[in-house]
Amino acid sequence: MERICAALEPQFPCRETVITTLSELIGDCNEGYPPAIYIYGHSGTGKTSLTKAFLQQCEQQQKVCTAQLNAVECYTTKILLENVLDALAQKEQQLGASPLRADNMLEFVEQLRRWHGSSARGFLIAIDNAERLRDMDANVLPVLLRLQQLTSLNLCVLLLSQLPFEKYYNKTGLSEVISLHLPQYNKAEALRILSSDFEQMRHQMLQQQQLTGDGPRLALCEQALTQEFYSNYLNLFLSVFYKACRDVPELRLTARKCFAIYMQPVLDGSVECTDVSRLWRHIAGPLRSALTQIYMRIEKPLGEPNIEDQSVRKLAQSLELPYYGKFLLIAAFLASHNSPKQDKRLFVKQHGKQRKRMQTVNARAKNAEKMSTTLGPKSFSIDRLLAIFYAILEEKVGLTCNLLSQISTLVHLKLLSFVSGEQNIMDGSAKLQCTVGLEFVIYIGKVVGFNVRQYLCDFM
Amino acid sequence: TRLAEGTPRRSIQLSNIVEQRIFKDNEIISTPKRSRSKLTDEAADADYVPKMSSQKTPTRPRRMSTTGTAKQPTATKLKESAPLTPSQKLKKIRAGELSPSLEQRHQLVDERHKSQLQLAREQLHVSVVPKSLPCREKEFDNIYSFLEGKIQDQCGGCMYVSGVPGTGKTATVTGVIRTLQRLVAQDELPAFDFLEINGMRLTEPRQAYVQIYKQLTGKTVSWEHAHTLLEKRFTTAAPRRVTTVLLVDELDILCNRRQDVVYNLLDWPTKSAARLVVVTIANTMDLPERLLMGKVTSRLGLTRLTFQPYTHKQLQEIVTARLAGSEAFKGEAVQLVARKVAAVSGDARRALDICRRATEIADSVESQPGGAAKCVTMLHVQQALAEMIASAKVQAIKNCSRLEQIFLQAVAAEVTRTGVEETTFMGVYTQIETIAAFMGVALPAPGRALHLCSKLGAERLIISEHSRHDLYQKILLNVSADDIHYALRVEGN
Repeated sequence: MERICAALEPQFPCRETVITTLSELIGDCNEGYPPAIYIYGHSGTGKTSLTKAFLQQCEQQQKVCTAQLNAVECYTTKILLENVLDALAQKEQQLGASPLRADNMLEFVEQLRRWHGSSARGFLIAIDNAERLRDMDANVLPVLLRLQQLTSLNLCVLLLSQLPFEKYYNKTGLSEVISLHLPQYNKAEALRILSSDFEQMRHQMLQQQQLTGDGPRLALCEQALTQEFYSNYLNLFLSVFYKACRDVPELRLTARKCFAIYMQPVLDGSVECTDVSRLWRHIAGPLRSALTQIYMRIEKPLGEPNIEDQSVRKLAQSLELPYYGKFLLIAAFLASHNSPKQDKRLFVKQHGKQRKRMQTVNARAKNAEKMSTTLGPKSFSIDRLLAIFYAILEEKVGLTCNLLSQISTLVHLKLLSFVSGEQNIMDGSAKLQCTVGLEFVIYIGKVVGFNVRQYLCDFM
Repeated sequence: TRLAEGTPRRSIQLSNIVEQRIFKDNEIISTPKRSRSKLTDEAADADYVPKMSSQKTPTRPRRMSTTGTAKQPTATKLKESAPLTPSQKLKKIRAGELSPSLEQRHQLVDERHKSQLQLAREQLHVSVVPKSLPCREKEFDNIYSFLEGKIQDQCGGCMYVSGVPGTGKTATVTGVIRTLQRLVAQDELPAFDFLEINGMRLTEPRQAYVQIYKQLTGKTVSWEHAHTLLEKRFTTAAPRRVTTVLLVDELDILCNRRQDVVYNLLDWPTKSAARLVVVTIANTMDLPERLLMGKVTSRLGLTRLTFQPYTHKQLQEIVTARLAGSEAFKGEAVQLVARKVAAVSGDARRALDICRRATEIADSVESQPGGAAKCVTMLHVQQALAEMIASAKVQAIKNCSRLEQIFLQAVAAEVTRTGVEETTFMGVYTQIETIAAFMGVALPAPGRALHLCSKLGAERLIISEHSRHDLYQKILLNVSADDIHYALRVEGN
């Protein structure tokens, strides 16, 4: 038990309490295990890796059979059960033995009961993404929670998930389970974890400089890259990022990316490595732009501003729709974001004069913040789409099958989507929705020379 | 003759067989062709038995041995022969050659040293059906005259018997059958076959065919095959066919959407060749009109009999008849049981069960020194009634934890506040906050309250959804609000 703790604590800094608790519960296979342990915490708190390392240590140091699996992979109960059996049997049986079969829970439990006289003193089963177990057959979760009692083996089931256990109770009740929470790291802990890869970072930078073969820069780099310098950088980094993201893998990834930019002025010789304020001025811009890219995992050089705006424009440019297809998309957007009541005023040429009444003005003032572009698209019928299409198009084209097939192509490209009546498109009861945003449509409007804002009720 | 020595030829003529059968030539294998092509034909024609030749035909020893096992006593032969493989065993089970048996006890049960209460308990067991059922004489006569008439007239017919559970329907019908079989044994009535199926014992309505065919021949075949064979048996005329009495218990289970099984079972009696009498038993009186199609109801006919629930006098008579001569029960004890049961359901099984429980209670009391009364008194019966009739909900609420009781109170309060039966967890939790503050109890966190909710839901004191809907899950109170008030108020004192 102490050996497991000693092996794991350097590997997982700031998790000493959890490792101690876990090893108190399932550290010694000669003692009775609890029937089930539920480990939960946010993503990136080290549930999976900690459990994995723990089980590996247990397997190496003691006579324990372990099984680790992911509930997402098991879309039927049979796969789940056979995966568990296979993983447990790997150490137990010699190679070449036929894989164990278990069609249902009863056979699974009976297979496990056969291992009573075996040399293994304990069995540990870890199931990741355990929230999926609720969607499987109704008996899976209740049986897993009392598998120890059913098999009378020294067995413990570890369930890992991001939800608290309150979300698991079913209508027939569950047996008791030990819950273990992995809290998110605070700022100091995150700093400690991130600074642990200083050696690797330094090694990487030096190697990079060696490859370029620049002597003075290498010397400068060797001199400047100290532990203090790196933790200074991480302090700056976390002051920007910690508000938005506490996911350690994501922070580590971005910190490595930005460190090269941070080092740049030092290597050029323009800034002293002790001058933190000037270094901050250099790095502040790239860090902020990197903050907008977090979780996107795009391999791109940093420093290009307005990445989001760029991407919409780029997407609209890269989407090469035919001319009428573009008008159809605009018509669909107008149909989604204008109410049918306004159609006559917007698209019919001689609609007569609209009397301005106090009532409508008041109503508008009240709903000022409820712009239809922010409320989301409403549904429309294909007839209305075609009517608006013909109204906004200058020339009059024939209603050919090419035109109609473009509607279905837009649906296939997920620019439009069906809301209802997917089965009866032809009888006119099908309802569509436009799924693209305002900017995208405005850009497409610019390409074909059509002012979209002019036809939107919100902007009048 | 040539036939006896060589392999039987396919070109054998029917006239040939008839001739041989008339001359009763035992040396001859009769109808080898029929027995080969349709093994089951011999079964459909019940009065005809294929005869065996004493001398073995050397060319086909295996065929002879398979037909031989059917005739010989199987048990003796099995012990001599080598152990069977599972597939062989399965084959024999399907053919009905192995009879299913249970493991035997190692020790015999001592029958002699039994107390009066033990004897009474045995007599009161539901499975000990008396020879003559008390209080059902009229129904007995009704069914008896119907069945006797049908058997005498050698025609087919249907009868529908209904009544709530525990009113002696099946016992009466089987009693009539036993009486009729005794008459057959005394040669006072033409012989008849008795078949019995129970809808509850079938996995599927169509398995009824398989069961009927199995009771006729002992063989297990697929339901399609059984259906065609039964169809053939009941539609084609055979000269020496005896009447078949078919008892169909739990008729409502046999009703599927197409109602083909029920239709067939009721259509065969209308065939002149069938000589089938069908007695159907079900619980509801208006089943034919409510559930069955017009054509099925019309075939079921109007011969109906309804078993009324027992009155307390009848129940008293039944129990006293069971106890006949024993001094184990006090008179008023039996009367109390009869009155209590008759008021609720009129179920004889229920009355017998309560009486048996009362003897057990009396037994346990008696085991203490001093109490030498070998008799069940009113007190024992009252205790048994409290155990078996009284609702457990009040007890369950009384034994809930403090927070669970608060939760139940909160649900009741929320129902009173909104006036709607169905509440959401959110509303209940606000009530818990109020009650906990009022009582000075530490407020449980919502997660803890969800745990309480699931526990109460598992015990069915409330009806709740899966807790993944946490704050929005709907909660219904499964006990009455009065029960909660009663349980908690009495405890408070």
